[in-house]
Amino acid sequence: MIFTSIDFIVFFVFVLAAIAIIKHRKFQHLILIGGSYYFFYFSSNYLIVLLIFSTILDFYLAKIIYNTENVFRKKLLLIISLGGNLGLLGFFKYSDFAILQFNLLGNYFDLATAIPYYELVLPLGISFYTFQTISYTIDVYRGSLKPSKTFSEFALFVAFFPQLIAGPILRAKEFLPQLREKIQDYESKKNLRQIIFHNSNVKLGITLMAFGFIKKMFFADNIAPLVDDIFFNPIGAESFTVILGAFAFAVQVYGDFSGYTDIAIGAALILGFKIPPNFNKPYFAKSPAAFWNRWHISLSSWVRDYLYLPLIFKKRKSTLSIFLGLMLAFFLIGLWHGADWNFIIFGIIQGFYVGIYTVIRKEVPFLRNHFFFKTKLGTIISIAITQYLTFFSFLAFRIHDMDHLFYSMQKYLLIDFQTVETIAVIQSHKISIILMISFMVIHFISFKKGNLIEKFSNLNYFYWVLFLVTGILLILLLYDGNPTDFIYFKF
Amino acid sequence: MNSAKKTTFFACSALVVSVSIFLFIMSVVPDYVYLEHKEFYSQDLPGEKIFIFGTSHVYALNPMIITDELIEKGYNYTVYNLGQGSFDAEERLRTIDFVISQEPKVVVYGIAYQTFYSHGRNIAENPPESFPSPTKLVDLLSTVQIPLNTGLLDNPKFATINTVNHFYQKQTGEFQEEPERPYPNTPFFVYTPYSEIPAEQKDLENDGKFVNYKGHEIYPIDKNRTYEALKELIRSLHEHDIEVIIFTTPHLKNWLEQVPAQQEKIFNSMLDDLENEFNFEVFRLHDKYDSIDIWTDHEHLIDHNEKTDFFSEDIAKIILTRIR
Repeated sequence: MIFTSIDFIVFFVFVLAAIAIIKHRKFQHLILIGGSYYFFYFSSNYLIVLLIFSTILDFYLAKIIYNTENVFRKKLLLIISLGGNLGLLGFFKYSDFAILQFNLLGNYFDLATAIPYYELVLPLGISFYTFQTISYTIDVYRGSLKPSKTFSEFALFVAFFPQLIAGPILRAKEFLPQLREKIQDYESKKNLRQIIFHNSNVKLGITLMAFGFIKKMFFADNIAPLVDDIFFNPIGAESFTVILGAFAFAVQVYGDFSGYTDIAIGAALILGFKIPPNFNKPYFAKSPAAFWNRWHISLSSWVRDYLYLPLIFKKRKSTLSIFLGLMLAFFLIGLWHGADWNFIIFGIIQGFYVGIYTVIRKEVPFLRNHFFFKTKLGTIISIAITQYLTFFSFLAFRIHDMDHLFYSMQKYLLIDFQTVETIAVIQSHKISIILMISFMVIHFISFKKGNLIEKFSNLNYFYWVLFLVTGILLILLLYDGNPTDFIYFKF
Repeated sequence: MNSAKKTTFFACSALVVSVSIFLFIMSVVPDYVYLEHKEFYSQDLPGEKIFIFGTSHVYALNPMIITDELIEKGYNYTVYNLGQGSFDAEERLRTIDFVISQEPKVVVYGIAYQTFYSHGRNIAENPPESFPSPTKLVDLLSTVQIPLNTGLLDNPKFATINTVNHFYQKQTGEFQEEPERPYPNTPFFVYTPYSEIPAEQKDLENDGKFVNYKGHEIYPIDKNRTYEALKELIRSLHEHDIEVIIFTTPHLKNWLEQVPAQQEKIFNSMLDDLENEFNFEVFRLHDKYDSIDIWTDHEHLIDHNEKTDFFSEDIAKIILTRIR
């Protein structure tokens, strides 16, 4: 069920209505769990068993880990949990990719054998909920979290529908306390607070959702044809066309993904749950490291906490270890996005950026505090260079064909200064260009003026309704009748 | 009133108000394309008729040549070339009732890869539904007929862009009430002088190769809504005993050779599927014409030029195979 469909709107209203009517907290949380599973089943059909498997596996394993004193046994159970979740993810997401590489290698060595593909459909949300349950088990293993007492509580944490399909990846440490808010006594059976709709949450939540819908349906979906036109076959394209395409894709993917996140966070807020933000003005980041503190924050922080830091902890004073650790972390981030070489290249490029930046900061400390980077000009240059390089890496994110990708990268970096084709592209995609520029301007205003969403949610009702009416009208008037999925649903 | 309830009330009001305004706009916005077609089909078109559908790919078809060829063989039909730029099967479906009301004998439809492009739409792959699947509201709602400008609600973006374009053309003086047509019986074509001049070889070349393939993804049969619309169009016409001829429109051969294998496979599967379902032959003309001096670009033959009269003659022959 995609957020931008009438099915979701009706479903969400129904869930809210049911919770508003049924005040008993036990039944409220059952409605949420039931609704979340229905939400997942709607799009995934029989693949819901994978979600249930992951939930059961980690609920019981975490309990046993918590109650076990033996360190070796704890480790073994953790390994089983990791194996189960990563095995699921690996099989459904990467098996055909692995088979393809094996077959290519076989062809290279003239071996006659070719393994047939499984042709599996990627289960929706698997990259997100497996990481979520893994983080839960690891936190319990580390002793930083007590396991859920009841299966229903844990099931709701895993399957909570606003963030189930495409994140943000929730941490149990942030979410479970919200579920346990009114638990005074750990032995108490009343393990979920009653869901009460607070006005500030409802208004902010609806505003967030409105922003999300506008970002996705008005901006991202109407910029997509421009991006598609440029990158379907960029061979022969001028440099400025490729650069235009990269910028347009950056706006599209940000509008699409942050739009989804806004809808998820808004929906959760209406239900009274605070989900941490996933974006913080990433296109104003002054460095590659800062970019990843602002882009897909839940994923980058997950990789940092559960992969990178444990990996380099013992050798954190070694520059080489730091660099290699970052390269590995970002290689895996790239691979997480998709079973294809272009995503791996994306990860490697980003790892290189962050690695080099981190090493320079460590080895050349005077640059870190150099006055130039504190000036306005220095800030602008830092942002411009960071984003130009980031959008360069987005080419790998967008283009799957290797010939197309390397051609585009070459044209992006070695500018040919031709403009004929670029002007023709701009003229034939006026709407996309106008929307792209408008989005950038609004984004800049939001960066300068602070949190626009909060400002809008604090408007008096007259202006707030005017904002909603305008937003909905804009979406409807440029809607082509076909709800398209979010880009990150493919991951 | 509880504050949260008040907020909810205002949010619902906003939704109702915006949807109402939207429906009002859709009901009053002149659907210029629809009106243009309505005006044409409302005329009294005497005699037996043959309609040609397609996009700008069929601009080179001269209906007078086809009419003359048919008359020569003893078939007294009047041929109308109703092709229109970027007017795909979904758009044709909106005016299908008008078409049927004219009771043409035959509808000849030229299709191409471009007919089925995705144009940036992103559709995720869903797993096979091994368990019972919940009903999708979108499917239910599509059966509800709202008495507004027909079809505009299917694609409000189309209506908005058309209205804005129309307004802009009127303001800049570009709009012509009665534009010049390249041939008689081509009510939706606008004559443009450049389209009758062949492109120079250098304009069709890029880095030593002919025009590089540029396009969009084509979704396969089960996910391609334009293809579904085409089939629905054919079914509607067949239900009213209107013969349908499908042909693929000519393209520069070198361009065709660059079409990705996967796209070629999907397109061919569409043609095969059409032949199987409707039990007719799809005439494949897309790689038939290879001379260099008959193209204005890789997908358009020059029109209003006797060098491409053979195209009209070939279509006439195809029509004859069906009406005999």
